[in-house]
Amino acid sequence: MKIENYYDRIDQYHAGELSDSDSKSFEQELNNNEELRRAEELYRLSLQVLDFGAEENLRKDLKKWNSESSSVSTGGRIVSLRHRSLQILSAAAAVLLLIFAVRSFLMPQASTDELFASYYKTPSQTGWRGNADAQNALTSAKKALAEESYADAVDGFSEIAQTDPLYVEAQYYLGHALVGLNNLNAAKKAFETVANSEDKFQEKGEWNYLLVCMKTKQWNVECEAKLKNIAADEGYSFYPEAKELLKKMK
Amino acid sequence: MNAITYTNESLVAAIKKGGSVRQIAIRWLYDDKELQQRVVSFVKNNRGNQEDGTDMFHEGIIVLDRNIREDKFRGEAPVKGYLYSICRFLWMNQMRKQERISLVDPIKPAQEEPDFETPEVAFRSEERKGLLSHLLDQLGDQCRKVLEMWKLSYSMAEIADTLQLSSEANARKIKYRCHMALMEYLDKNPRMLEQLKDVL
Repeated sequence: MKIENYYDRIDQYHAGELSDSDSKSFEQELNNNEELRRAEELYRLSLQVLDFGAEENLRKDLKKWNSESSSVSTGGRIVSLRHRSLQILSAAAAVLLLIFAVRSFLMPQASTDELFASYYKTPSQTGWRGNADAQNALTSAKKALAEESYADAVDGFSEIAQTDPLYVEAQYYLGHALVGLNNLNAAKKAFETVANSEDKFQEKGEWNYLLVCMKTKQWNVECEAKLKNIAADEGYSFYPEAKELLKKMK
Repeated sequence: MNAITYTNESLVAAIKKGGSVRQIAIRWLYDDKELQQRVVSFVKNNRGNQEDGTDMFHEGIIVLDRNIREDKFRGEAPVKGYLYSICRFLWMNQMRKQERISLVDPIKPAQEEPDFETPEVAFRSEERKGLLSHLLDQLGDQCRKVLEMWKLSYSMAEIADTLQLSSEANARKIKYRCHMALMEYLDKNPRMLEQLKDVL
């Protein structure tokens, strides 16, 4: 059988490129022409083979995206994202310059996600404080956070009472768990609590609060001022990052 | 990582359109961490672990993509609810194969449920996977990439651009040559053809 004799018509038929009358005559011929019927069957089966290949590719993409997000959560993607986003950020910076001239507090729509991903880091484990029950609850919740069981982590961190010495720390981690769940408004509130405290987590809370404001497009004059203050304070934990971020935003 | 958001309709339309539009839509769906977490929680509540949950989320997206492209998704339920139902089913199906268990699900989906018995939501068998992989291996790397992109409705211009081919016309020629080669291979291997019909 010479499949090539039929290929173009079969291809056009499947792509819906034949006119109504041509389609009908093709279907009639399918009933009467054994070779055409066989060629059309081969065409259909070959499409299924290709579909399988496309699914395998999607499976690979999903695994790749998963490992990318895993490395973001361990901090490993920060550097690679910076490299990859360099061109995007350069372009965004140019656009931002123009926007800032009109509204100094307005954040760019296109680059906030990339900027957030570049600077946002999930927390590392820290020392222990507080009473034994709260400490246990905090430890379990931190474990859940490390395992990316964000809903469990949120439940655990939320258990720590406001009167407990661990409350601010729990709010800090709660913010990260909520970021994991993409509940950014609640995360912002948790980080804000930490930012307004005098706890050792205050600077971390404030920095993450600013990142979430940026991500949620809730950037305002106050955020701008806070970022400038951090970028001017060499003793602040996030001084280099703030300076760099401010530069990119301008 | 982008500012695009979709309605149910626009998400389905984007996946059906294929090409890079489909890829972006699937990435958007994948980036819904809350949904992923729901799937993982369901799996973990039912004797699975984090990795199983992630795998089910991935397999669910693959089935959803296929069902939308093949017009098997009727659009009567929100896409994300439908995806969650598929993931639940896939895990339940896997568990049923191992042992009969009573599954715990705190979230009862009231949405369109995938048909548990239809082949489109069934896991591919190892035999099927082996055969289809073998057939794809008959194609060269370039042929395979061109045909798979074409099958996903990438335009010839996109294919030429992505695979650095000299022109759109060249991409079309390669697609024709490669597709013919695959069909001829099937034609000349009747036993394999019969096996293929059996597993599809």
